[in-house]
Formats: sequence, C-alpha cells, structure tokens
Amino acid sequence: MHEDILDRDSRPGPASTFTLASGVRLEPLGDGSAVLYSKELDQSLSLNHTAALLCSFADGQHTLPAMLQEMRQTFPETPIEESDLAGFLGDLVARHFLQWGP
Amino acid sequence: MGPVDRGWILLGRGFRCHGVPADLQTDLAALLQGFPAADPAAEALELRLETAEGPEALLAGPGGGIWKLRPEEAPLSSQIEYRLVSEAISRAAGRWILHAGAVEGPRGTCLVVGESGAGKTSLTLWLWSGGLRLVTDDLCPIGHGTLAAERFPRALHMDCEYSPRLLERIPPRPPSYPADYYPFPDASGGAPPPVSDLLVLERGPRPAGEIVPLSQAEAAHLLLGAVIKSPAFDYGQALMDMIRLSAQCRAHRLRAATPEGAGAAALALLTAG
Repeated sequence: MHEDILDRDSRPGPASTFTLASGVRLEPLGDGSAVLYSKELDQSLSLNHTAALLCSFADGQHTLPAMLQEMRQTFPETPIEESDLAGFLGDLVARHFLQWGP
Repeated sequence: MGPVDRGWILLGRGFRCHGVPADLQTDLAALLQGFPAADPAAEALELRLETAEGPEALLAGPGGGIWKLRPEEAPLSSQIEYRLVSEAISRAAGRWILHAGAVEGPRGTCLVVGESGAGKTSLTLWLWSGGLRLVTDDLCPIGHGTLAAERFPRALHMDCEYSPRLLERIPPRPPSYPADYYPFPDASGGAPPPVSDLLVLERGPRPAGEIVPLSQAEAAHLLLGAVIKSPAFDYGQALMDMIRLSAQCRAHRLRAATPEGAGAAALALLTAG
C-alpha cells in the first residue's frame, strides 16, 4: 500500500527514464495497437497505437522530453502534453506494469 | 439399453448418466441428441441421479461432487443437461471454451461475444435464420494452438422474450420437444471454417445497428474476457492464443437498441461482397 501511494504521487523529472516491470511483456500487434502482459499479476492491458508507441520507449534510455519529441513527430495532428504523458506512465507504474529508472 | 445408458461425448469426453427415470430419459436424450453417442464399452465419466422424487433431487458427479437439483425451479432433464455441460467444460482438454455464439459466414466463422443480456443468442439466431449456418448459440470451443472453432450442438435454450420477427424466422419447435428448448439444427455438419470475424455486441441508443472497427488489442482482450476460466486456466497461454486469434479476425463493435437492428447490420457486414 505504501509503495502504491508513493508510485501514484511520484512524478518523473526531466531526466527520468522507465522500463517494463519485472515479468512484463509488450506484445506489439500488426495494426499498431499492443498488449501489455504481466505474468506475475496475470493481468494484461490493451494499448491503442499512441500508448503502444509510448510503451515501446520503456528501454531505460528514453527520457520524457525525448519521448515527447518523438511522439509529437509521429503524431503531429495529436496534441500531446508532457503532463498527460507523465500521468499515463505514472498510472502504469502504479499498476506495476512499468517502473521508473533504467 | 435405454438412451441414457448409451452416453454422450461432450468436448471429447464420454459421459453417462444413471438412475434417470424413464419419463426423464426421453427429454434428456432429446436435449443431448446433437452430441455424438459414446461407445458403450468405452470409458466414460459417470453421473448418477440419486433421488428424483420430492422437492430436491441429488445428482452425484464424477470425482465425488453432489449437486442439489430442485424440480420446482426447472425440469430435472434440463438441470442434468446443464450439469453435464458444466462438467464437460471444467474438464475440457486442449480447448478454450468461449462464452460466444458463432455462425458460418461467407468469409469464415464469425464469433459473437458480449456481456450477459446483450443479446448474443438473439443475434446468433437471427444470423442463422438469415441463412448462415449455426456453429453454436452459447459456447464455442476453440482449439489450443490450432485456434479451430468446433461446433457445439447443444439444444438451443430459448426461454427469454424474443423479437416476434426473429421467432417468425425460426422453424417451430417439435411438439414432443422439451419446453423452452429447440433441437440444435444440422449437428452432423463438418468442422466450421477458420474464425474470420468477431462481433462484440452491446446495447446501443439507436434502433439501427452501428458498427465500429476494433483494434487488434481490444479484440484480443474481449476474446480473452469471453474465455471461461476453468480450474486449469492458464492466463498467459490464453492471452497469446487470443492475440493470434484476433490477428486472423476482422473485429467490430456492434451497438443497437433492437435485435432487428443488430441482426440487419451484422448480416449486411458478414455477407457484403
């Protein structure tokens, strides 16, 4: 419970990176959507093409500003705010699909 | 040898039911007539009706389970059939059992999934009455790995309110057949074609059916949600198979306020050149 609260409240800084949590697989699908599957939780999430691309940056290398730049280049018609992106990632961290850090 | 002693094969496993009074045997055999007969000499899982009189009957199942059946709630034959099917599902090997209707369309097998009460049975029967061959109205086995759909020739349970227009299109129930049921049509047909379509049925605000494409990820999750979770359920294996199944499907969400609207939209989608 304490960790959950910390995860939800924590917000990444400009240099933050993230990776898939232990036992989590990202399954990219043919139409650009993807499935995030946690073997440990026996849970999965369906991701639209925007979320799928975002999770593909879970390599411990991409910082938030770098991701934001790539997302805006890939989806120029879609307004993407850094706070929305950080909130989405924070939610996946709280649900134990992602973890902050390399 | 009575029809009940003969036994049936459900989902690849033989079942026999003993102790069923003669007056119930005919109805039980009618409900299970779509399933292949079990070889009398072959091994089968045994069920036994211990008592059939009074307000409560006891059905002893394989593995020591005992179920209380209440004749005042539903005919004993339908309660026994329900238990047989439930046992078969819980012991099904090599198959995912999806809570789904299915018909054969020109492109292949179309699965119909949706929340309970969404109208899966109505839509499936509408498609059948519109000329598409029935695979199942309720439960669809899908092979592990092969992703092949199987016909599940369970008697059609029609105890709800159905659209008069739908009922007009379905042949009348044979007079001797158990009430609220209809024999599965054409159970002897061969294997259905590969799954090509998925319809996710929802109640919508407008009478006419509205069809919206789904992403593969959404389709995979909705298929996964339709899989009945048996004791040996393996989430990861099921997810991977449903992802593969979604890759071979056109997937759509279908919203309609009426069975006629859903049926017309689905039939148009599935039969469009």
